[in-house]
Amino acid sequence: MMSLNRKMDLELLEKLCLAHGVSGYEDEVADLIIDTIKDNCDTVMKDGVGNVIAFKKGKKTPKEPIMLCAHMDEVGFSVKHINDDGTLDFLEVGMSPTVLPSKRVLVGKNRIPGVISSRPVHLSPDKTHAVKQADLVIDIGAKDKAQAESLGVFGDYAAFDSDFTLLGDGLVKAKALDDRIGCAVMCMLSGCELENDVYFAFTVGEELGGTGATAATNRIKPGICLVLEGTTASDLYGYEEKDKVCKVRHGAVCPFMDGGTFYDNGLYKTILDLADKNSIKVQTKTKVAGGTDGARIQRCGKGTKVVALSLPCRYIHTSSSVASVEDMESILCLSKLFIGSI
Amino acid sequence: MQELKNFLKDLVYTPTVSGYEKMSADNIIDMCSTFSGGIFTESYITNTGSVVMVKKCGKENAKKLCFDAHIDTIGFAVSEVCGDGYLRLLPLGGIDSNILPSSEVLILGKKRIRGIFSSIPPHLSRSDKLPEAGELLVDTGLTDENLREIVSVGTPAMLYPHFKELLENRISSVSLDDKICVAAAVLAVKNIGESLENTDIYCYFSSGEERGGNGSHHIYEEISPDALIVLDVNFAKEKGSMEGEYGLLSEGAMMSFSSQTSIKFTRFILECAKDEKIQLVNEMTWTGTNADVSARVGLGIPTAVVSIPIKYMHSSVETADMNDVISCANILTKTAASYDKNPVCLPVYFKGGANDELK
Repeated sequence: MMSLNRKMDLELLEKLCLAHGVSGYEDEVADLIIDTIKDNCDTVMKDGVGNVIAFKKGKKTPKEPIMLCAHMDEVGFSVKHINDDGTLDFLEVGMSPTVLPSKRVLVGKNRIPGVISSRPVHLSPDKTHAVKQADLVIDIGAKDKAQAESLGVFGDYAAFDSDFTLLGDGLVKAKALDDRIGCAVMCMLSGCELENDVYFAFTVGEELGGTGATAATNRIKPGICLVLEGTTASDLYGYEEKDKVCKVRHGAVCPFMDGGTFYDNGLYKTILDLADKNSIKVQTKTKVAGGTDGARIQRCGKGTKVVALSLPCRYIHTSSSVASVEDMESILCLSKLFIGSI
Repeated sequence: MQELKNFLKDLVYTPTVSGYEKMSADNIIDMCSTFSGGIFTESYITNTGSVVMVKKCGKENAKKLCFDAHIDTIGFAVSEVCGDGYLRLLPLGGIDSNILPSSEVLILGKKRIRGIFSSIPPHLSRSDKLPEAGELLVDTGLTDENLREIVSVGTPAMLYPHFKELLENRISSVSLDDKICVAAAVLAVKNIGESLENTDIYCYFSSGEERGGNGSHHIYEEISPDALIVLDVNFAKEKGSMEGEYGLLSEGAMMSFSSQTSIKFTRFILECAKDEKIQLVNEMTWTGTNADVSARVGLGIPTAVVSIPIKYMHSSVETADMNDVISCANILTKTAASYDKNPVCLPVYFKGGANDELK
């Protein structure tokens, strides 16, 4: 695959992962993306609900318009109530409560540092019982309710405070790899010479079942859509092969079906053939689970042919997702080849 | 105030059971027109029973600001005409069976007849188990022959309407969800009057909200608003409510933060109405209103939710404060005035333009 000589731009991915874009609050990520792609594309716009949509002219115009889609939003929190002691009750989107206790967060645009509480083990009545989200608070160190209120944190979002770092051999650890990897690949593609005209849709609210995908698709009216995503890898030591869903270091994931989408059979095969011909690692998901913006995109207008390339991520929807750089490059190469194959 | 109360009373007495809105859509239009002093320039009923009322500013291609309040209410439909003058009713929308035994209903057949949900006398019942709504029979007191003349399977019914004035401008009634917001929207349009130059105001009194938002799915095709304020009722603190969970009655209208709605538009409204008493709530994921649909239709509608706190939601004694209705209308009036000068959340082109590849 290195014959294509496409290296992942990890600096760009780092910037994207460190930006905050909790569902409903994607503006910071959107601005960064607009800055990155503005000079590469012919049209760049932001619609009324916050999607960033761009058009880039290629060498030719395909019969069916091609749309690439990645979501800008990430899992996170928002402040629901300020308690008398200055701690913050919060709501979450997209997470299991078990990954929350004793994590660091940053609250709002001003990035006020905070921590999610953790009950001392000595005081836990039942040590086997999983924690409930409602029992946790975000502590920003405020001395009382008035001080927390004066910072205007009510209703504001909070994102994980987690750095971007290389891990082990060729892996990366960061928050929000789902789906800044898709955003990063689309930003990089916008900088390449492409065989065909391409529309890019950077969507809002995917973690809530695709808030922005319909609006973006209705504007673009694509015939074909390639969704770039992060997906669950359960390839943990000791797990049975059948339960792993997909595996880190085994290449881009091209699902044939998931919880919300029937991916187009023909395009699925196109991807597998491209991978085979160009010796790029690809795998499919061994469980019909999870979902992408594809579910919405597929149902728009007269219906859209959808295919996806996903990055296998361990510990997805937590502060510390882990994925492989080589898998990212598989996605990048396959996306570029896919655009050329239409 | 009394005029507003009377208007609201007329609205709640008008049956618009979810799925059966068309039955009274014309009456709703008449009431709203009359109360507003004939300010609306256009009104019509959609295929699925929503009511659209428009106040045009007179300019071509004006921006469209839309207020959505759902016109449908919880209610029932007859599922079986049983013997001895009894009916079985199917609840439409979330109804707690706790409120039903011995409650009165108005059955909207060829004639309007009363019915009473049966209850078993305490002397005979040892069970504290809650009956399901479908198990309860409704007694109409009619002979079978007469009953079948008036009612058939599918006939709608509503909780028997009443409207009581409590202390301190508080009121209690059926169907405040969401007629109270219809009243607030019409009051706002009345206040706005002829003051806008660049903005048409659309009132979308939507059907089917209690059954999954039937009307909200067509709002883009019907109106394609540039911005939308969804008006609905929200929970007010009652006995047993947790602190910080809900709003308070009489403390002003509420505004929701949610990932389904536009944070930019929400903050815009807060800024426009900063002199009003507003209670903030955070609903993070779903708002449980038509706003959960509106970003997902057409080219996407930037949406915010303004709500009126009520107690005892989905019961026959929903309770609210008329001052909160006025507060809600004031928020809408001020927002419309600012939006007219400085519309927000419109599509922005950073490169290229609307005439290029992306319209």
